[in-house]
Amino acid sequence: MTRVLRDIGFGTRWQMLRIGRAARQGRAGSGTRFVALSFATAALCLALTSLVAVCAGYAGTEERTAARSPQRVAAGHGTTLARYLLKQDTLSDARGYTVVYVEPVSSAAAPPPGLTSWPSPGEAVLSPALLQAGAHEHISERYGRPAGTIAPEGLASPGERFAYVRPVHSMRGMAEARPIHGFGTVPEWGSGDFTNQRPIWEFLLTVCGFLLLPAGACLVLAARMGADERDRRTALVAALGALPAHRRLIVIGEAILPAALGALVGVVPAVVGCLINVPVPFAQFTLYAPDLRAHAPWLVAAAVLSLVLTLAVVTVMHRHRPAAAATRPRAGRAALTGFACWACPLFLLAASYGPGLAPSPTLRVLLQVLGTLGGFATLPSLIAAACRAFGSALAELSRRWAGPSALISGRWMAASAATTARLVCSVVIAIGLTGEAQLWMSRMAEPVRQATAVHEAVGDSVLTVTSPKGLTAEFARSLPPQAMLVAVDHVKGGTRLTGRCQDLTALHLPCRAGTVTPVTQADERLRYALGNGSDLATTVTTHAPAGTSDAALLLSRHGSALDVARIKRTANRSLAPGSSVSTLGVGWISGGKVLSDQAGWLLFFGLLGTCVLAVGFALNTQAEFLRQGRAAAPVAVLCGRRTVFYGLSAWSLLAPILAAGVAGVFVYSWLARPLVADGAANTSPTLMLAGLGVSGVLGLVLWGCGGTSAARIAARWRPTGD
Amino acid sequence: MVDPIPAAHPILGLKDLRYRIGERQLLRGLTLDLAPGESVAVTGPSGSGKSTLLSLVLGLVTAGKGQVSVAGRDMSELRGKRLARHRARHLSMVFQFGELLPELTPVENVALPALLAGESRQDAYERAAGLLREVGVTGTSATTGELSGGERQRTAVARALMNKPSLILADEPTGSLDPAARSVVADLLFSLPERWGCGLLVATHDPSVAARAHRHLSLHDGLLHTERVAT
Repeated sequence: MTRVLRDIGFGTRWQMLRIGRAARQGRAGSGTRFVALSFATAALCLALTSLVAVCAGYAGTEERTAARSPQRVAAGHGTTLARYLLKQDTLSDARGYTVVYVEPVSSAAAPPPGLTSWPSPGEAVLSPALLQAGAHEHISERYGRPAGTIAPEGLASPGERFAYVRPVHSMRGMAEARPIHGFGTVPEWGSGDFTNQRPIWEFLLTVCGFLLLPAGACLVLAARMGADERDRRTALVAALGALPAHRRLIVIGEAILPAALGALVGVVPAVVGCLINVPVPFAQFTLYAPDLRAHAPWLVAAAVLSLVLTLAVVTVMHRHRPAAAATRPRAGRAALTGFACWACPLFLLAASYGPGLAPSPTLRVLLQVLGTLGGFATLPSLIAAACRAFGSALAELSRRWAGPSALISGRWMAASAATTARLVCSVVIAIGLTGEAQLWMSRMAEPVRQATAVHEAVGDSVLTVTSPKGLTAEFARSLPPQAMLVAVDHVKGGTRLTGRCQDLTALHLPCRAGTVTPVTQADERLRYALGNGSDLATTVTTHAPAGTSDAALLLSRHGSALDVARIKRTANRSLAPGSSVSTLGVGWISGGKVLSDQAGWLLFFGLLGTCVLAVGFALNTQAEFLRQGRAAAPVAVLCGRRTVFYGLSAWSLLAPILAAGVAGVFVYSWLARPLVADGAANTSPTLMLAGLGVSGVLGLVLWGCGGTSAARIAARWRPTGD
Repeated sequence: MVDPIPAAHPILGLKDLRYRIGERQLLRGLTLDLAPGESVAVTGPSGSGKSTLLSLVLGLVTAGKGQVSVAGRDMSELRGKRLARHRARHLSMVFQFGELLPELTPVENVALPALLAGESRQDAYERAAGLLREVGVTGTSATTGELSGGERQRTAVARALMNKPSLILADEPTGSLDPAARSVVADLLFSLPERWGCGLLVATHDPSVAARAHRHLSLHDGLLHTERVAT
C-alpha cells in the first residue's frame, strides 16, 4: 500500500481525502455515523487509556508500598533504628485497614514515607481517607492525639485507610514488635491496600472484556453504518479506475475528523486523571494523579492508537466486494432461528435451576457456565423472532387501537427485526453478564455467611478483646457501666471464664468456681462467642478481671449495643500496642468486604461497558431508523404531520431500549435466583437501578434525537424525480 | 407563451413565478392557471426546473418573485402549520418511484394519509380498500415492496386520492415503468381529473405520457411554452 500511495502523489492523495470529507458532509444521515464513529473512537481510547491507568495504578501502589515497607534487622546485619508492629483494625462498616505501631529508637531514624517527622509518644498520624470514613466514630482520637495526616507519597493510593501510631508506652520488650533499620524494601504483605490487590492480569482482562470488546463492537458497527451507499460510491469510483489506495484515502477522508474528535474526547478522562486524584465509583479506590502523569507518553500513545485503529477498521471494513457476493444464498438461517427459540429458554433454565439439581460441584459450575453462555449465544435469534412477532402483532393491533406510528413501526420492526434484536440483545447481555460477574464475586464463603449471621444475631452487644501484654485494671475501670468484662482462658478440656459475681449471674453462670455443662445453659451470646462444644469453667473475682488474661469478652448487660468506637479508644490508651477490640466474626466479614469491593471493579467496568454497548447499538439502530424514516418523509410532509416521527421514534427506539433494560434486569434476577435462595450471593439493587436508569435515559435521548433528526430530514425533503 | 384556459376559480395559479439557484435564474416568470378537472403536462430537459416547479407549488421552497396560489390561497402567505394544513387538504403527489413504505401492505400505505389526518381507522381502511379496487390492485396481502412496478404506481395513485385533493402533482410518474405498465398508469392518472374533478399537473420526460394531458407545456430557458392543446 505504501508503494502505491507513493505512486499516486501528494496532490492526488489530498484530493482523495477531500472527496471523502465531501462525501461525509453531503450524505443524508451522515450525522449519525459521525457521532457513532466519534463515540466508538472515544470508547476505544477510554479502554486503551484504562489499560494504561491500570498499569500506572499498580506500579504506583507497588512502589509506594515498597517504600514504606520496613527493612528488618536481620541477625548481625543492620542497626535497630526503630520498632515496628503491623496490625489490622476495622471501622463500623467492617472494612479493614492497617495500623502501624512504630517508635524510633535512634535519632538517626527517618520517619516513614508520607510523614514529615516522627509523631510524639501517644500521637497518631492517619490517612485522609481513614479520617473521613471514620469521622463519625471519632477515629482521629482512637489511637492517640492526632498529629496531622499521611501525605499521598506514603499511601498506596489517596483512598487508602492507613494509620501510623506511636504508642505512649515503649514497645521495647514486646515480642511482636520487630526491630527495623529503615523503610524501603520489597512490598510487605499485609501493609494496606496492596495486600488485597488482585493480580494485574485479572484487571487487564476485565478492562479488555468489559470495555475494549464493547468498544470494538461499536467501532465495527459504526464503520459499517450507511455501508450500502458507501459501497455504491466505491463501486462507482472503482469503475472510474480508482486504485484500492484511492478508495482507502476516500474512506479515511470521510472518517478522520470524527475519529480525531473521538480520540480527543476519549482521552479527556485520562487528562483529568493526570490533573486531579479521581475516585473510582463502586471500587473504593482513588487513582493518584502523579501515577498517571508518569505514564503520560503511554496515554498519548493510546489516544493515537485509538485514532489509527479506527481508521484501520473503517478501511478494512470497507472492502470493494463483487455484487455477486451479496446474493449468495445463506442456508440454515431459519433452522438456526428455530433451534434458538427453544434452546434459549432451556439454556437459561439450566443456568438457573441446573446447579441446584447437579450432584457434584464440578457439574454445578459447568451447568451454570454452559447455561449462561448458551443462553446468551442463542438469545439474539430468540429476540429477533420475538421482535418479528411483536412487530407484526403491533401493526395488526394498530388497526384497532393505535395510530399510524404503531402501524409503521410495527411493520418496520417485523421487516428489520435483526436491527432491533441487536439493540435489545446488547443491552440484555451487557446487563446479564455484568450481573453474573457481580453475583459470582458476591458469593460468600460459608464462614463469612456464618459470621454475618452471628453479627446479625448479637450485633455490637459482644466484643472480643485481646492484648499482647494482658488486660489492665485501667482498661477495666474505663469501661462503660453496662459493659461486663469476662476474661477468657483456654485451659485443658475447656474454657475458663473469670468475672465478677454479678456479671457471671447476669450471664446465667454460677457465681462460684465450677463447671457448666453444657454451655447452652448460659447466655446465648456466649455460645456465639465460644461455641457450644466445650465445658465452661467459671472463676469468681471481686474486681473486674485484669492482669491475668490476654483475652476477654465484653458483653452488654441487657443485650444492647456497646459503644465500640469508645471502647476501642479506651483500649488503645490503656492496653499495650497491638491490642484488639472487635465484634464477633468481624475478621470474616471484613474479608467478605474485600471481595465485595473487588466486585465493585466488575460493576464499574461492567456498567461502563454496558453503556458503551448500549450507545453503540442504539446509534446503529438510530441510523437504521433514519434510513427508514427517509422513506416516510414524503407522505409525512404531504400530510403535514412531521410530528409523526416522534411517535415512530418512540416505538422504534424508546420502547425496545426500555424493554431491553427490563429484560436485562429480569434475566439477571432469574440467573441469580438459585444463588440468592441459597444465601450464597446477593443481587445488587445498584446494578438493577443502574441498568434500568441507563436504558431509560438512553431511550429518552435516542427518542428525542431520532424524532428530531427524522423530522429535520423530512423538512429537507424535496421532490427529485428530475 | 402559454395561453391559459380561462377559469373562474383556477385550482392552481402561477403568476410571474421566478426562482434563482445561486447565480442561475432557473425560472424566469412562469404564468399558468390550472382549472379543476383539467390536466397539464410539463416536459423539459433534465435540470430545466420541473421538480423545482413542483416544490414551489407544494410550498416547500419559496419563490424569489411571483405568486403561487393553490385553491385560492397564496402559498407564500402561509407558514408552518397553516401551510401544512392547506397542503394536506388540497394537494397530493405521485412520485417516480412511488415513495411508498415497502414494509406496509398496499391498503396500509393508501390509508396512511387518512390515518395521519386523524380519520377513524375503520373509515380509512375501508376507503383505502375501495380506492385500491378502483385502481385495480386487489387480492394481495403481500407487502408493497413485493408488488410489481406498475402495481406500486397504481397504489401510489390510490394513496394520492385518499385525502380527496383539489390538485394532484405527479413527478415522472411513469419514469420507472415498462411500456405496458406505463400505459396503464398514465391512463389511470389522466382519467382522474374527470372522475374526481381535481386538477392534475404532471412533470415528465415522456412525450407519449404528456400527450394525454389537456395541455402540454414545455419548460426551457426558465419559461413555459405551449406544445399542444388537447382537442
